[in-house]
Amino acid sequence: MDILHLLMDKIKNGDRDGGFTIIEEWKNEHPQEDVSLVLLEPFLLKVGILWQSGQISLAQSYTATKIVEDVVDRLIERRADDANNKGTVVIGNVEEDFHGLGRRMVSSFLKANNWEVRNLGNDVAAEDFVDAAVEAGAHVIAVSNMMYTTAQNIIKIRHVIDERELGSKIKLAVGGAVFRLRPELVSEVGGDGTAISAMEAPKLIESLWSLAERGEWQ
Amino acid sequence: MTGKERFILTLQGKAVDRRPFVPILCMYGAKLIGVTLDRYYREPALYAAGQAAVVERFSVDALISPLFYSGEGEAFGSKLRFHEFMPPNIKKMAVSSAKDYIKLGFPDIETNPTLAYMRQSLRMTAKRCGNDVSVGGILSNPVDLPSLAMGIDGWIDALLFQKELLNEIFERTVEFFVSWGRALLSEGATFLVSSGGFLNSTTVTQEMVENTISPVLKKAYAAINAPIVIHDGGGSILPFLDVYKGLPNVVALYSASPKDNLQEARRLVGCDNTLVGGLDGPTLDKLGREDIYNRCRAILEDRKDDRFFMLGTSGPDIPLSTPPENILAMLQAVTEAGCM
Repeated sequence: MDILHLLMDKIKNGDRDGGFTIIEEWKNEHPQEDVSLVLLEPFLLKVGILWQSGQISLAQSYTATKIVEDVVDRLIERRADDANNKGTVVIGNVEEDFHGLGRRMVSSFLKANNWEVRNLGNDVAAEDFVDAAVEAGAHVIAVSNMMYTTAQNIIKIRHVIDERELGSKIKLAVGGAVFRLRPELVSEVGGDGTAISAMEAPKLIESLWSLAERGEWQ
Repeated sequence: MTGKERFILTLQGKAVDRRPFVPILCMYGAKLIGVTLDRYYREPALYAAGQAAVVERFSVDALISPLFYSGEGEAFGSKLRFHEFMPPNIKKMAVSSAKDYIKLGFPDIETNPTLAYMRQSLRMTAKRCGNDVSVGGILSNPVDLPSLAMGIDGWIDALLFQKELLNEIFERTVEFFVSWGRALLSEGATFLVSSGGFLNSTTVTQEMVENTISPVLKKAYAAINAPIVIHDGGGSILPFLDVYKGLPNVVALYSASPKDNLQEARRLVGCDNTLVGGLDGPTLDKLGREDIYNRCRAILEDRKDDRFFMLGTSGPDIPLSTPPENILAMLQAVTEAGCM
């Protein structure tokens, strides 16, 4: 049985420790640089597809993201001075949004792609996003949101960024179920871009980061 | 035959003049009487008037108290946000973790204002409509309850990885569920609808259902001296129907997800539990009238020999944007399918 099948088998019953152990054993027999590309990303991709198509439960998706978080945290511990670090991304759920699964998945994908993630959690005020980004030197704020009503709170983050004249230095990435259903909402709430899935998030962050480093407006 | 007779006889598997029609139209009553949702979810008399209008317009056979889970969250200290076109939802959870939830004070069923709204809404609805239709009380089951005060993330994390806290939490939520359920029955409910958020396959696994959830429900349901209907919670409970069917006092289960195979559902629940099947409530505004009629006729044809079957809608409330004709198309299908 291949490693992905073994992992899927573990998340079936919420076996977080079992999943972590399988990956740790796999890592001993494979090059360190393969962990993200060959293992974690395909694993999260498979979980994301199964979740979106209703083939696995929220509990199983949650277990998968926790396994990946555990593995990535261990990796980060071991390479604190890693020169491959691409920078810090601030991530959180918008004010009044409490649906953190998507944020956790994006966070895992970003970490697996050598981004340092400052995860602010659920229900984050607009000022807190921007303060954290300024403090961490982050060029991208990634905001997760599930529902249409709470999407309107993203506008507040846009306003704070604009009021402080940070629009060329800090880009606003938005994501969540509502943006897949209503793509026009991205610009309506002042977003600089979105990704259709957690797996696509690193690509979006890189592109927005690059714009911000050049000091360009969208 | 009244709606009430139709509903009760179907639970007993006896002959009726037509299938009971039980769509979830709690919120839709506000549209029928022309009031805003911020008033509707605060003033019991408006809720009862709205439900009376639902009976008059759509000839439903059962009503329930407000489908207002966020209100139960409010009773535990969560903050609500009201909307123009959807029921209130929670904008701020009372606590952020299972450890904090254990320390949380539980609401007083006699004095809490939000619970009082729900009790009075039920009492007034039962008084206005209870002779004609069956009136039930809907409430969060003891496994769903913590998520309304700490959020889905925090609760799923506790269910999966903080099992040492679960006994203490469930001891309190079972006690609350039983007291709250009995209070609703004392206000005129003749049956209870138990929420299904953490009972369906979209949210939880078979292992969680068998080892964690089912024992809690067994203890809670056994303490309720009334028929219990298990709702689907917006996902499919079909994979777990065989577990839930044997719980104490359970007389009916939702298997109304469009993806659910009703023959399989019937096989799993056996031949003497009622199944509620039909269309997905939250997307009923997306279908055309004729499409709805045809789908309902197909469902009723599939269930033509099934005495324990009611036509309803799954998930939460039918949206306000649903044309009345769509709901009437379901009623037409039920009426034309005729007696059982």
